[in-house]
Amino acid sequence: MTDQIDDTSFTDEALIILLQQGDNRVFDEIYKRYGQKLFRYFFKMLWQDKERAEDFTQDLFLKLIKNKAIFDKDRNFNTWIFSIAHNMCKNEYRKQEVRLKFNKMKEDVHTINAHNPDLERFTLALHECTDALPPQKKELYFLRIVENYTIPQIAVIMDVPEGTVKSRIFNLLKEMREHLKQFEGLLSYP
Amino acid sequence: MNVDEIIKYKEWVDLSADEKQQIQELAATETEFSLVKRIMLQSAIREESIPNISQKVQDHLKEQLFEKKPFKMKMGWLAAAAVAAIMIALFFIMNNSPEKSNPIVKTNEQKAVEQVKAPDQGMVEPVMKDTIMVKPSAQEKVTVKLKEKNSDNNKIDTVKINTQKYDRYISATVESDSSLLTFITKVY
Repeated sequence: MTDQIDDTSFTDEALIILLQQGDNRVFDEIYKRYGQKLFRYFFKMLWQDKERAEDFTQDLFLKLIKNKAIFDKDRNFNTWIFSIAHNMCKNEYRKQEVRLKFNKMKEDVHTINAHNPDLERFTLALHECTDALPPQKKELYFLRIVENYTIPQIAVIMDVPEGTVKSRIFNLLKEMREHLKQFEGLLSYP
Repeated sequence: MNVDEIIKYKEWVDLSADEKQQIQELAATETEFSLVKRIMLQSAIREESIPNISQKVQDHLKEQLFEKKPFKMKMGWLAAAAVAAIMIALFFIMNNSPEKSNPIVKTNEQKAVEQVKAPDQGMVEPVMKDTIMVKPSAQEKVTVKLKEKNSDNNKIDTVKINTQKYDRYISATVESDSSLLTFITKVY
């Protein structure tokens, strides 16, 4: 009943078309490609709440399963699914006006490592800096700097012009540089 | 190349004058350049604090995908079959009701009941008080004018003419059909 499809050479769009045509075996491959990726996005965007991120990931895939025709074949699946995730987060932010959850999660695993204390302190400060970003900048940081999405892709996901994306990236980096200015000269690269 | 790509993929010494001009506001010196580059590269390293998604999510989704739909379809068919069975049963029950098998009722029971005139309505002449008029159809109306004691002869003639004209539609009197009398008694 649930034989997994072997061919991983299908594009995302081809897989979705097969799913739309009733070939449920391709679901595993789609989930393999996007399950963890979307979970990471939701985890980062939604206050590092694992259960909430899992619920959102599940809801997004359920939308795809229950309404297979929702995907327009002419669109890029990668940007399309992240634009849905983007809207889900926006709605969640509207619901949750108080966002204090992330403040207490920093006391756990980040201890100073004796091997490279400067780098560890820098990594800790970087996480604190990005977690404290407002939602729009946090999303831009995740998509562009962490996940390496292209400017046109981000423009589609966030539904803004490419020029706006470029200027926002510029401002984001400038802001982060100011925030982490204390590490200037301390870190030798690489 | 966009500014972030220049910083990410190039070294300070490799930058052209034009590229340096492009990133001027973001990284004017080599130390600023190094810091922004470090921010970008360190960010790209997978954060260990991000856990893996639970297996139960995939299990639940597969359950929805492979099992729930056939169950829903099966339930739909069962519901449709049940409704059809109930409708057929109702049809047979209605057709086999006791009134349908009663020979008295077989002939136009409803119309007969409608046409019975109560004596106190002043519409029935003593001579014809036991007569039951049955309408032939909706279009053809039976006009029966009843004679009052002091009414003129024209009215009597009209009744006679109408009675003759529609004689074939008028059913027998109650006296001539005892079963009809029983039925009327039952109705009242």
